[in-house]
Amino acid sequence: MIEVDELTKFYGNYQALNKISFTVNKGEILGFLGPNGAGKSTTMKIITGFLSPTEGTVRIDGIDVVENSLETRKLIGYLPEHPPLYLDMSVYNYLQFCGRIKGVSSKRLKSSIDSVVEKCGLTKYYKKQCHALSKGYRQRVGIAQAMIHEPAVLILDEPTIGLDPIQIVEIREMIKAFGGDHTVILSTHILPEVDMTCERVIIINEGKVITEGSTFNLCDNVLDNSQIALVIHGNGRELRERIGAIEGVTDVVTEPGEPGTEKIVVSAASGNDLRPQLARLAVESNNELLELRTISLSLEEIFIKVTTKQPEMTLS
Amino acid sequence: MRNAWAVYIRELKSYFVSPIFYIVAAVFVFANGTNFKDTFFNFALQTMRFLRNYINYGQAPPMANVNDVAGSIFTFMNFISLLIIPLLTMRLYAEEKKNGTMELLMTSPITTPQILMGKFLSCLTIFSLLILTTVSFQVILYYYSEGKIDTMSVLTGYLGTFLLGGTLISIGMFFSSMTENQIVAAATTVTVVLGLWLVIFTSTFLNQPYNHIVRYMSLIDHLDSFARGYLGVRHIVYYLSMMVFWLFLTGISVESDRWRQ
Repeated sequence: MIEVDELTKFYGNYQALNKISFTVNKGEILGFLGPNGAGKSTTMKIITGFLSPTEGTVRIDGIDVVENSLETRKLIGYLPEHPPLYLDMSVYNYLQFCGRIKGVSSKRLKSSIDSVVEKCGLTKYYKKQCHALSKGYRQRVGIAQAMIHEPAVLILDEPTIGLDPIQIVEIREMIKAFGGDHTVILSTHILPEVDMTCERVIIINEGKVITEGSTFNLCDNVLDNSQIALVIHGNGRELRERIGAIEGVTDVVTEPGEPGTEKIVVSAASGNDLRPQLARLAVESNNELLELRTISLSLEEIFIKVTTKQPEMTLS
Repeated sequence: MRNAWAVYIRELKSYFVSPIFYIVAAVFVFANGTNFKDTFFNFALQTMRFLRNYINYGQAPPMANVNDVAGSIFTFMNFISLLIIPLLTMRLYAEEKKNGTMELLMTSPITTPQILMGKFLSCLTIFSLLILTTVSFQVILYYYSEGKIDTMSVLTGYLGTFLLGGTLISIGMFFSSMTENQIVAAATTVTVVLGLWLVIFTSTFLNQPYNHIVRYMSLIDHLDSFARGYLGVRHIVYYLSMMVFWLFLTGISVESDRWRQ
């Protein structure tokens, strides 16, 4: 649905994007992750046609966004970082205006407005003036505006920023409901959000794609070894020695645990699952096994790992 | 077309909820009204002097012409337009840039010329409403002079003011599209417009053909013929080409934001 190819953008001498390439399939919800200033907003602005790339192409449904900007803009609903509201208009009039400039036919305009007003939970507020709305409701109006012409692609720049926790959950649900037959790209630096809403993640830093994958297998991409934690009763010296002898184990360390117990962290080359072997060994060495689990990195840890690992990677 | 209409309607509504519009309208109406009152009283005074002299001495200086009063309405209104139009145009693009709504317009399936025309025509409509308030003065003159007023030069006078307004609006829009600060937009517009207005005074110091070029460039020189009731094609062409030129520049300036920043 969206093909981004070797996108480069310079602001004067400052390079914001450095040959970013990725594709988004139809119906996918893609999370766009990166620290502040990584180039998330710039990429989104180029996809929506607000900015032109210095080099590279973006195609939506096979149509180039620079050459056929008007066509691609019909396919896109876009929520910028700051919701683009006319503060002197009522929510209803604002949505009416947005519908008109986005080519919603006069016949369908009213039902389109009603439908987005309901979806975004604005039923009580649509007669209000935009300047009287709180940040969260402005954000909702911004999302309503992006969805009014039922675009095939929805691009949301930090949709949940500045919202209260209940609103965040509601908006996530809204985005999830919208995905399916629509393609969604959302940027954020709030990591659990990606975990909860997105099927696939792209992490960018300093204008480059660092890693991409489904939220599930991202850990494997990032880690070259896996870790397993065991918690046992009593002294585990014998057990540790026997574990150390297993082929593929690179490191065995103990960590302080509850009194009378011992926590052993086993590192091994990723790929082979050591859990059955470890369970058997624990039983054989007469240590009661209290806990056995693989340590998976949270998205935060992956994020920090990849964004700080970056300089080394470019060196090698 | 529908897109441009949507922008046009939105801009019009936006003027009517903006305090600046009401201040501008009040100043415009008050200044024009005061000017009319003064010139009209002057005219009445002169007429009475004429009658007194004529009755007492049997001779008098030439009688004041009621058409001069009508002419002075236009001269004054044109000058006031130069000061108020920058206040009407300053928000057109600068406000959208500041609020981030430019991002909405630029990513919607609407072309830059459509946005441009919607904005231009809405401001021109507002300006037309303002100049229509002065029709009341012409009506007073018409009845006072028992229909002796030159209706043709009143009509062409309004056409002249309308064309001048369009030109000033297109200049104002250009400077509004250059910045997100409305004050800066208004200040630069006033400066440039005043320059284009006053440039005519340099023509006396210049030789041929430069003095003619400068006269043609000046915003003010073309108004005389309209005030005298003539429809000079070259004057109409001047204002229309000025509008096209500045609107074109505005379009370029807006579109170039995609590349700059």
